[in-house]
Amino acid sequence: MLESKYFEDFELGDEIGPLIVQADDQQVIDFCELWGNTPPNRFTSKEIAEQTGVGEPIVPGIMSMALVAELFNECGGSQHIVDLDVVFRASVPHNAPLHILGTITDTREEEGQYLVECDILMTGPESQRYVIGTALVSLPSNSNS
Amino acid sequence: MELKLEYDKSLYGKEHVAGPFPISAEIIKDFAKATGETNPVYFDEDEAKTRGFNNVVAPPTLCTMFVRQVKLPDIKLNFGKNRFHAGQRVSVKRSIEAGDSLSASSHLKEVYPKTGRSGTMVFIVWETTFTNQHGEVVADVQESFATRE
Repeated sequence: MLESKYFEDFELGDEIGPLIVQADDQQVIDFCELWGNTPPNRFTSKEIAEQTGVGEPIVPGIMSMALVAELFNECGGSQHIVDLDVVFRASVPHNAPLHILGTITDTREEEGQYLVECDILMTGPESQRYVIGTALVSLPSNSNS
Repeated sequence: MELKLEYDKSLYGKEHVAGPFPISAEIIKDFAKATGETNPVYFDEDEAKTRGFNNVVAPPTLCTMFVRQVKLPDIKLNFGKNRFHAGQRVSVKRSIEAGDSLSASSHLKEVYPKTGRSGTMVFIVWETTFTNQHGEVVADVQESFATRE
């Protein structure tokens, strides 16, 4: 059960996370099968990854995006996401800790929605920047409860 | 010197469709498990209902999985060799729940160059709109692919 959070719980400059996750080999295989990109492929096979120039099998971009979305479970659940916009700065490796952090850049009421906007950063164990982006989440207001 | 990009501009305004994509509780659960999600609204119907949904709800990025089912044409860009996935954006318009059926419609949104420290890259952006069985738009997904000199 996730803790309910309200718009009023967040202020400009607050941090969300860090959330530390990793995508193991089996998770990536399961994801690729579900996605319809049947393994082996450059996301699951070292040999194919080398042939395509990425070196090691990597986490698919859309899977990295799904991992980023989980950051918002700290805000009552990723189902509150209204907009998630990410840039893949570097290949995301398997089996490595991924640190995901959000920094709130704006809070506002707009057309009846209580919105929290933040910058997002996914980094590796040596602070490599894998994914950057922005997110907008719509939260309940405790003024309505 | 300004880069003169050549590609098939006749693709602007053309829609490429795919679907239907039935959304089952099992697909939602499998997606959530594969991405390490623990949020009960993706697994537990009762929990989803207490949060105001009619059924288990899909994670906001689930529909991105279906974009590759749309057969997108080659834009015949006269620049670069290696193409890579540069970014992705999901704009959620309404929730997707188990029992829904989605259709996808994709179009070429824009093609533009950008020059940075590592040289010039050209970005190709496709936009896909997902609609549910009631004709309601549930999400817009933008996928950017970059190609280098």
